[in-house]
Amino acid sequence: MSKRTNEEWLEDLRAEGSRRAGALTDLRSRLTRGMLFYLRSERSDLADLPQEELQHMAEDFVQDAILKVMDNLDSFRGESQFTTWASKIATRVAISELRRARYKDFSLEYLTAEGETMPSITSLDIAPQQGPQPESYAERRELLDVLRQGIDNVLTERQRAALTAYTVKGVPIEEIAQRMNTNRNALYKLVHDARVKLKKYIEEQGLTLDYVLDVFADE
Amino acid sequence: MSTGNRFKKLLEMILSTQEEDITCDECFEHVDRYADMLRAGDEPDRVMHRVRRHLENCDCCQREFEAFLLVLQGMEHEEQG
Repeated sequence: MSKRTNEEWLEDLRAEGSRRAGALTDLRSRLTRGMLFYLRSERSDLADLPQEELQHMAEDFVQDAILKVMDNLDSFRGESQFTTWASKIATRVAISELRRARYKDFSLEYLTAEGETMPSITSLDIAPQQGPQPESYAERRELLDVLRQGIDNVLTERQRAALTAYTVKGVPIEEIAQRMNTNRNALYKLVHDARVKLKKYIEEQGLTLDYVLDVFADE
Repeated sequence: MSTGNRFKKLLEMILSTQEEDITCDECFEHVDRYADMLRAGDEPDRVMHRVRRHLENCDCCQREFEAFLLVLQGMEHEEQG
């Protein structure tokens, strides 16, 4: 397979006939191989799928990606290799599709449910004699209380919901945004502002990152 | 992961948050250049520092970036083989 410069990729993809067809075939082939490598390597949720199905999935993602690449050729600034830029688009297509399929049946209420702001963290289930030393246990409880107070006192309702879903439940930001009728950027800002506020609150109580690392030194 | 470990990671994440950060879209716009620079071992410039910081702060973008690197790696394997 020939190696094209960025300029050659753009010229060939904008050309007519066999020159363009050749470039598309080349691009499709490269992206599909890269995509298949990713799907085989990292996706435990796809581990049970037969190879043929993974191949089809990779090809479908790449086909969608190529349409986006062709629609956005004018936005390629040449700051990276063309194939890197195209791979970025292909990855976004794949990640979005896979995420949508995984979370399609879940509501925001389900994702943040359990009745507490920080459910699995507010109930420390380590008995002092089995887990950390009593002093460390008391320090951890103090940190937990400060965090809960911060969440309850300095965050807005939307910040609390977003932060809980994003950090405690590990829900992808796209999924939270959709359910909160907002977009990814606005939601990231919501979560980020919440984190900045909590950081300020925790530090105002005299607690630092070094202290936290010390309290959790055995984790 | 134990409850203690999760709690520690949450506090670390909060206390490591930087005030200034770019958006997910801004990160996406520059992440291809960042990937090429990373893979070439080049010294990141100011924009790339901001991309790296956002990736440290944003799990979603970080996971997507890891997937992106695997796609690039897969393409490279085929070219070498």
